[in-house]
Amino acid sequence: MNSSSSPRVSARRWLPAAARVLAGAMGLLAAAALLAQPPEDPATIDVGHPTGHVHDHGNQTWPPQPPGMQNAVPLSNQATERSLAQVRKTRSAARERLAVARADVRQALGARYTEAKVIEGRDKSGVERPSRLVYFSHSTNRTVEVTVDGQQVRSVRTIQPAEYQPEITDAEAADAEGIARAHFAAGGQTRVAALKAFAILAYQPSGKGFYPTRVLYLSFHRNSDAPPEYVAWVDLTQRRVLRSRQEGQ
Amino acid sequence: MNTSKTRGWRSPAALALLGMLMTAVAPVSLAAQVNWQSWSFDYAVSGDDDGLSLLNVTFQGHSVLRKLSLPVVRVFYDSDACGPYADRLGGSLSPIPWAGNATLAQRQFTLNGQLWYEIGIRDQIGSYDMYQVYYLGADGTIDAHLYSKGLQCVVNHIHYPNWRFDFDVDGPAEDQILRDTGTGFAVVPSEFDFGAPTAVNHAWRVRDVATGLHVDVLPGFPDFVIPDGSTTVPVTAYSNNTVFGRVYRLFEDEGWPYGPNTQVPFNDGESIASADTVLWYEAYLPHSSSDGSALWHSTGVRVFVNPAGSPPPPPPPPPPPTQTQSFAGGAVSILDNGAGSPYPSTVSVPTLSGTVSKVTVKIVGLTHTYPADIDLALVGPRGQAVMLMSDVGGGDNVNGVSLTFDAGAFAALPGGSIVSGVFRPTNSGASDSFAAPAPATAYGTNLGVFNSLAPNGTWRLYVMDDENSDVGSIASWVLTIETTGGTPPPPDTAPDAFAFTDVSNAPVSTLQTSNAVPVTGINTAAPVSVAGGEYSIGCSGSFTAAAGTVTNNQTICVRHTSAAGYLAATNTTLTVGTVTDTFTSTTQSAPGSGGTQTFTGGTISVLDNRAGAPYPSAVGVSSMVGTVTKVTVQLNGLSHTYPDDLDIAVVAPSGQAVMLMSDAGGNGRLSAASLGFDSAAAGALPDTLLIAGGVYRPTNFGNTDAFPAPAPAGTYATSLAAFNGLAPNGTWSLYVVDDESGDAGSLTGWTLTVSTTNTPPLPDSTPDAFAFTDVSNAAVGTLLTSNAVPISGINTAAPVSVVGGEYSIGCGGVFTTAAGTVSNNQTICVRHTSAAAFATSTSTVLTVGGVTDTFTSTTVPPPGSAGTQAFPGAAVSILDLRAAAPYPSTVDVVNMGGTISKVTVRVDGLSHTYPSDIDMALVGPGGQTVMLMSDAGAGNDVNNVSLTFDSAAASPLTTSGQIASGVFRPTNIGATDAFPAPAPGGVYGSSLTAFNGLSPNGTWRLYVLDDEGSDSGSMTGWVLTVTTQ
Repeated sequence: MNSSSSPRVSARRWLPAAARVLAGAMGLLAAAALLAQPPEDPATIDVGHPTGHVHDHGNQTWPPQPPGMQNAVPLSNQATERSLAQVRKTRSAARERLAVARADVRQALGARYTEAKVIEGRDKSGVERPSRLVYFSHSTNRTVEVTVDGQQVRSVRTIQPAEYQPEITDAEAADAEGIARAHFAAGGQTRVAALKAFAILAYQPSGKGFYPTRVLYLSFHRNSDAPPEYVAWVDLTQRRVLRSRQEGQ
Repeated sequence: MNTSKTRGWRSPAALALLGMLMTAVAPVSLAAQVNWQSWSFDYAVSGDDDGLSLLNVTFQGHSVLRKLSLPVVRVFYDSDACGPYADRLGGSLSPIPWAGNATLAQRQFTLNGQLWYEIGIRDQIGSYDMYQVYYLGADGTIDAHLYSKGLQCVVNHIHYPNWRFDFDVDGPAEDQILRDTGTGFAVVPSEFDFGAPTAVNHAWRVRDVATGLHVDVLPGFPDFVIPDGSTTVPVTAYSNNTVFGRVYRLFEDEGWPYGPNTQVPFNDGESIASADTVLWYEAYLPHSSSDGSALWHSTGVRVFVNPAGSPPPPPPPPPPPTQTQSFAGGAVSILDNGAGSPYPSTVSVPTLSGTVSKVTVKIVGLTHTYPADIDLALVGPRGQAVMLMSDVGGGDNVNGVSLTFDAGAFAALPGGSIVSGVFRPTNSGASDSFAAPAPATAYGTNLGVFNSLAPNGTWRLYVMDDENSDVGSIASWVLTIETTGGTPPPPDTAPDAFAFTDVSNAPVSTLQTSNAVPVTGINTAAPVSVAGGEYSIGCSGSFTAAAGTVTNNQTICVRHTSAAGYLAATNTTLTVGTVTDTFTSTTQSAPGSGGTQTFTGGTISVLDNRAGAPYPSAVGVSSMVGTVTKVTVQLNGLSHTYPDDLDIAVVAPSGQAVMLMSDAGGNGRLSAASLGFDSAAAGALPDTLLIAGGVYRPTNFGNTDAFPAPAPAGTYATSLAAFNGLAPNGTWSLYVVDDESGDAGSLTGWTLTVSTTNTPPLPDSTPDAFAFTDVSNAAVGTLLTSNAVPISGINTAAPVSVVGGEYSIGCGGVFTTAAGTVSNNQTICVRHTSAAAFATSTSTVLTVGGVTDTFTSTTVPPPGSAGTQAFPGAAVSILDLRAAAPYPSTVDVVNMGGTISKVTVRVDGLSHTYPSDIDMALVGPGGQTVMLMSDAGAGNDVNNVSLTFDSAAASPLTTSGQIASGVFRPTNIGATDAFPAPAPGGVYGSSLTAFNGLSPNGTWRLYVLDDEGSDSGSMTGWVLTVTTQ
């Protein structure tokens, strides 16, 4: 799987596209309401129960807000966010083109891989450090780190998955969800089709650290505030379910 | 909003430039600058996956923080039901409804009359929905918070958010971390891992030494969010928080490359008294499954900037008078997946006055095949319980390590390999439970819970193993209690009993030194006297027969010269206070007298369904005469949960093997049983019934089970008479195997008793061969001493003579040319003065009992001459995930003539736990580069191998196999790895012929790099060999 050409717009959280559009629209309406009138004091919404989910119609008070706050002035700037994200995306794409032009990088990545992150930064003197493109290759079962300095690829490094794995990407989550859903469907667990999936990078129990392959833990819930009903450990290197269970059984 | 603030250490012009750069090159996915009230900062959600970061934070023009971030949230579920996790925030973000669905919320609000600026991100990781936020108050406060809701599975779990504060208070240099002592703030001088409450009121401070500006780091509970106890961490739980102090290192700011079981690493004990410091704060955020998925939970940490500054901290007040006493506990067997034996192990503390002001626990001789299985807790006489270690050390064997647990220790126990040292109690992961009679209470990790309590009563050490397949043991433990405020106890000069280990079979007229015995149980200096020998306090200095004194916890040895006759005893009696013990040595039997001698073997761990550890357990038999007439074996302290699994055999030096027991005893659990094996015994072991302690004939039920190598193959005898007639001397081996899964056990020791005939041995004055190491390129006219060679294989004094030089027996004293004699196991060196001419050899020939070797030195060639010369380089430490030390290692070539026709490099004593991490390159005086090895050998440990790199060699190093000593072509696996400066950049050559035709003279550099985490190694040296023509 090569997800490197797909933008990471909603990593590790995925809703049906229609729901995303609806949520976005509701968010815009809510934002417009916030700007049009003084913000409602969340403490008055959550009297006696500050968790924000009892009277939280439309999920408007999560994340929680300091009780008793007044005179709130919204300062979020989505236009700046989008602008910076676009710059980031453009830079990232340029560096990936530079990286995959090298035969040794292509060999390290194989056919199935995902771009996990790009590490950039400066040291305390303000000097920009070489960028590091971090991938996980499902073909070679390795974390792959490509160091790019300016317009030059300086090194290609492969790391055993038992030593280090980057966080998972949207594409990996979706891939693992598909494998898990197929597994439950084959087992006659039709209830799973109606549930929402969540994915997280899994670690071995008993202090043994990273798995020696790329393993994600999938949990299936009625909604985001409901407990899990089914769970599965999905190995994306081997593309199979290692273990699954129905919760409460 | 105030948009005109400037920074304390940057000009407005520089700021403008930075702003342009950030717009132009955007080093982060979401990054911008905020100027608000007296604050100025950049914010970022970076590729390091360390959440929302505040960068370049200033307040009232003073720099405060270079970076504030949240690199990891570690999560542990009870029984690892669906975890653990190491959540790294910031990869991609969720919309925040009340912020207009922005993914990065920012707003200003008023609370209790103060203005606040809020900036936060929402990230969904699995079913965790988390809001990471900073609230900045106009008064100089920053509240860092994490809110979380969601359940991966319906099981109790704990989140440990880790905030990283890279403080640059009034600039990066000269910062120091202090903690509130109750009477002021005291500097913490070096890197540390401390429980947050080790500072009074949890009050920590970071202060600039030069300006006095300080920033207080406080728990989150004074802030406006934390006091709600229904969803936030209660104040009492803040005692679980941990503070870490570190020196700033650039490579330590690269996100969180570890799993969940590593606490903040990088504690090298470096000084932070005045440095660029980093403070990590690990908080504690439990989530009970009964709360459901929707109820959110929160914890936080508060930072408050005080620009007024503060004077230097006062010196600490003198401590009140204290008394310290130690109490020794016994051995504990750590049984597989259950309670240890005994459970608990106890010590009784008699009447001490005052109250406890400090408790430390020393675990002596801890051995285990999977330390993460061990849970170890101390329970005081009033029921307070402290978890000393739990779920640490991973699966790396420990063998006889000593661990001291001290609440003031800098280091926590690591998640990986454990070595002896002083650590604070460490509980990694959810709290494991202890079986009754251990109290069912919360087990904290703070030994301070005993403070201010009366010390008297029974203290209990509970040891559990909570996973299958591994076992271990503790040799002993020591509880040390410091009390304060009481009446000093009356002088006590009567120590606890001590015991010397007597020596048998001592050579006649030889100096015999006893074991070191600790003197404990006294609280003032006690008189010491000795009769029949000498004593030494500390055992490492001089011995004396004069009376003296000794203090508590010192050690004493005695010594004497063994008797001049055979089978004669010599006694030395030591008296400390009123306690006495006698050290006795008994000389060996007269040659030809034969006799019976007993030899003692050590502890053996019986591991589930595999060979024991050690395998085999060996004892050495020497100086016995004649041939064997009888052998018996005694197994001591044998414990096993299913003895039918046990196969135990003893093998003589000649290879003759006898099965002692196999498939006996059924499922009758053995606990510390003593079993003797004697072919003259009346009975055999039972097949299926419980084995009682006693003496039995060797017993083998069913088919003969096989032992894995190195045990000999073939059929094993079942009578110890099979050894009769053999020579007794050499190594006897006890092989222990468990041949079914599900159970394990241990042996505390074993003894071998051998009787022999009276046939005297023949005198043997012909030693084993020995070899001197020749020296090349020696300076002219210089005194050269050879390596020391041991003389072995003789049983009587052998004649020594030398030609062309001098020799010294023992190598530390006088050299002589006169003939003499040498005894078995002594060492000899020779020496001579190298030739006065260039390229000339000098030889010294040593002859011992007819065996000869020659020590030869050859002086350097004349300046400017061609030929082959070797140049040795120094040892190199290969450090984990960084450049080696030294970097580079260098040798200087001078006065060689001609141009290079060949270069080889030999690496000596190379050891590494993951060879493919090693990158090694040679750079010549002219800057030519050759990669010698990179990414070879995969993860197969190498141990003390010698590798010669020669471009004419037949083969390269193995890519993924085991690297063995030999000659290889330079080998670069995969893509070329880069070396950090000062190594040159560019593409490195792959053949040592790159140097041919060049001048050899100048500095040659060997660059060694470890490019992956978790492993390290070393080289004892390296040799550059250059041939010119």
